[in-house]
Amino acid sequence: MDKRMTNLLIASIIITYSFFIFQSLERGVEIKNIIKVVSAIIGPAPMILFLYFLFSSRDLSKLNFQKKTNKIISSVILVASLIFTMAFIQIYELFFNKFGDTNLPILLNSIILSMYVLNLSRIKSVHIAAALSGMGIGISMFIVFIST
Amino acid sequence: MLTNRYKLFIIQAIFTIFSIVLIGFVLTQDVSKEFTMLKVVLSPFSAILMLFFLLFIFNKVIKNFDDQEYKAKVVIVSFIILAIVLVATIFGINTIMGFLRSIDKIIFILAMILCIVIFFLLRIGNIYTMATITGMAQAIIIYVIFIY
Repeated sequence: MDKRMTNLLIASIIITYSFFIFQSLERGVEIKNIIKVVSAIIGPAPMILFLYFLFSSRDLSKLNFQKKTNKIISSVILVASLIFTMAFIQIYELFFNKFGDTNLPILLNSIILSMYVLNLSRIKSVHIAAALSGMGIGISMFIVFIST
Repeated sequence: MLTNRYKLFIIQAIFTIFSIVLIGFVLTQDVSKEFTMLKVVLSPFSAILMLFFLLFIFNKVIKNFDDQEYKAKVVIVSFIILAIVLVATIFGINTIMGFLRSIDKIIFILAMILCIVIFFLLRIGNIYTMATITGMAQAIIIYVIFIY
């Protein structure tokens, strides 16, 4: 939205992703590992550019971002997407390997962050922001509390 | 920058060229290193000749980057094109990994695809070509993350 907001977002993205790279390079510094981590970070970029291409002609002066906030519905959406995300990761761990050992959390985090930036600058919908926040909180809560 | 459709198209094309170079680097990691120098040097020349032929045939520049919102039918058709290109690219990479295990054939096919991308960049700018380029880049990144 503002210039300060985007600066803060970019700073948080750079700090968290540098930690992600160090953590995933502990498995072994090979050229295959580096390629996988970098491609997981830049993974959603083409799709996000295509969505920007579709939404670039939207008239933003018609949208009122402040008047339409319904706090109860958006918090219900946040809790629902949090529970859905944690259940989905639990089902994933039953069938496949452990969630923290793969590059999947990095990919999901970058998808969520880029969708958040797209939503802030182009779409401006409160419900999408609530759902994305719920997904992010669910992933970090699963990794911190449930998985060992 | 992200609200101009022409600049978005150029960024997407550069990203696709980068990802094609990346998949070439990935696919030539574990093939046999015995090759004759003549084949490897001669294989991308066919793509250059094909590109010149296409540029001579289509001497009309089409660039439809208006600042209007697209209709629902156009958006649905572009998403269908994107899905078809994505599935076809993943299937094609699996085929290459299956029985074309030598450097010169891989360079030939990737140079042909690169020729098509450069032709789109120079001559036809549309929502459909944008969807095609997006499908290629996204499929390559999905392959590198999950299957490689």
